[in-house]
Amino acid sequence: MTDDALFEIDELTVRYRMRRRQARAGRYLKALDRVSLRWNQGETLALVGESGSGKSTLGRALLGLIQPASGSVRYRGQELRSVDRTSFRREVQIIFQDPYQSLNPRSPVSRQVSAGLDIHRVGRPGPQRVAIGLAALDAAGLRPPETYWHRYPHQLSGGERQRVVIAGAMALAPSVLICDEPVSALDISVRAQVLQVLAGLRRDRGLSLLFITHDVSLARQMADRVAVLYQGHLVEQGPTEQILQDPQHDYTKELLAAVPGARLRSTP
Amino acid sequence: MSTPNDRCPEPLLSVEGLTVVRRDNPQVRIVDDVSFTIGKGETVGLAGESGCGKTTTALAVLGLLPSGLRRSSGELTLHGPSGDRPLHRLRAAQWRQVRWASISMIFQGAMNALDPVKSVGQQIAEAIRLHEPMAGRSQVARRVTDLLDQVGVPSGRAGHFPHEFSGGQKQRVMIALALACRPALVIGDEPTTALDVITQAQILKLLGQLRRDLGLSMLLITHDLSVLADTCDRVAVMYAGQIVETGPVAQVYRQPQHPYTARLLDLFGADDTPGTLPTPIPGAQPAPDRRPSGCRFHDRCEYATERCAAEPPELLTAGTDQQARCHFAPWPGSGPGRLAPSDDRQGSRSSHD
Repeated sequence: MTDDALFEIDELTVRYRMRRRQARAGRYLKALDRVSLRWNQGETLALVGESGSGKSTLGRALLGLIQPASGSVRYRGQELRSVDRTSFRREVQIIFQDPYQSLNPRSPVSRQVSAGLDIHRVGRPGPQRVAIGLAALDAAGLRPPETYWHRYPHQLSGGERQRVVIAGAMALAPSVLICDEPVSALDISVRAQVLQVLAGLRRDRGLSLLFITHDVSLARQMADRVAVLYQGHLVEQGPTEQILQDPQHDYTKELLAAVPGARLRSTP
Repeated sequence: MSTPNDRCPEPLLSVEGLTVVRRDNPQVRIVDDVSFTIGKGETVGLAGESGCGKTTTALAVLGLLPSGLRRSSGELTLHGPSGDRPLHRLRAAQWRQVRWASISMIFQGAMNALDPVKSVGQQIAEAIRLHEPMAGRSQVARRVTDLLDQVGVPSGRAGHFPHEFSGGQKQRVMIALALACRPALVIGDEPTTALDVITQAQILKLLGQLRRDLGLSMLLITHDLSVLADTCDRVAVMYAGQIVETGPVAQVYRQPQHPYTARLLDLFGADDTPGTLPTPIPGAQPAPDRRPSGCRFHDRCEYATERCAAEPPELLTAGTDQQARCHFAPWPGSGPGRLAPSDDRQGSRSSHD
């Protein structure tokens, strides 16, 4: 079983230095406190928690963007520090919540999608990279892709923009996609369209997906396994069904109870 | 609190045929013939996805339309003990007396709606002084303390600046600010959208409490139908500038009479089985200048016929106090794509066994 571990996080602690005014308990804030978690290849994992719980910090630690105070992150059995940067940054892609901020308003779709290809020198410049970019748009559900190629972000709807972001990530043929609140800025009817794109990519390309989210229903819809973070602690983890049907930790129970719309789900 | 059964409380605000157009092209109707009333002590939800015209409707009610838009027709009436006040006839100076004193607003995104260089106490005091110039310093200070107290912010924090507050606390400050001049109607534009679920639940609870304690009327604007389910008496669903369905919240949610409402409810109430993805509504809401002929939803609707593409539907009565803008309303059973209530309950019971 150990050989299909994608990420192994062991006793990871991340501290942020605090400014004097906020410092009450100490000079550091523990954003993550001895978190251990395993994410297997091909598995869809959801990191669930409220803002400030440390879920985005954990995502950044996985990407090697944060220097941990202690503990370790291993990627495919290798210490993250010693992993080859260039190939890691191609294999592991991330998309963020707000497609309005992820895209450069002054660049057409073509440039946003092929930026990664240029950086990683994938394919030959010119027609070959255009072909890869168009195929990525198509895979992200923007069809026909040619009609999107020369457009600018302001000419796209929110859902289309997020799909351009996904296409930019997928153009590099990654094996891992980290999604930090990928649909929370989108309208509900569009949200499901984007999730279907991600589910399709997972099915067709065996992507390992990580969802960082405060939205329990997103975890329910997409994840195989759920890990619940609270104030930097991993309070509970397990198969999605088990965690959502039979939560053990008080915080998880509170989180599930706070989801609005009880009247919606239980028709009187 | 009014229950869905004691209908028609005394009206506080009535909006009749409100139409908002673009100044540079009056053919483009951002809000198109919208009518609704809010009763005293009642909470009405205005639901819809971005671009449907819900925020523009609210801004029109406050006389705060952006400069590129204008109200081309429609009447806004504020009913009060001293008679009815036609808001649509007010001039700018008169609006200033109504705004905040009678109708106030909790703006979308508390993060940006507060002034970063003034303490929260100063900002609340400013609103009070603007409307009550005669109020004394200590009197205003006491009001600020009371308001913060009311929304659950320690009054010792009046001297703190917005960046020193968490998102939930800032939203509480925004609510205190909205209550500063004791309005009869508070409009909440996505008041909990930027918050995580636990904080959201706390803010919604606070709003419910204030509404009961102060007898407030509320207009809650949101894209999130699940939030409205727990907080509203009545709901109006907007699509492409129009109200497409309206009625008591429990009734609309149990038996939606417009296919759009039905699909939205399916998306929110989605199947609880892990790993099931809801079926999206194909396409996207049309921009105001690119709306299709006939029913504006017909190109995304699975039940659309030739008639839907040709003939725009009226709001039809589809149940007690419920209306839907659909040629097929009232729908048989529990609405489009749904079984009759009794069948439905049997169906869901057997599937859970």
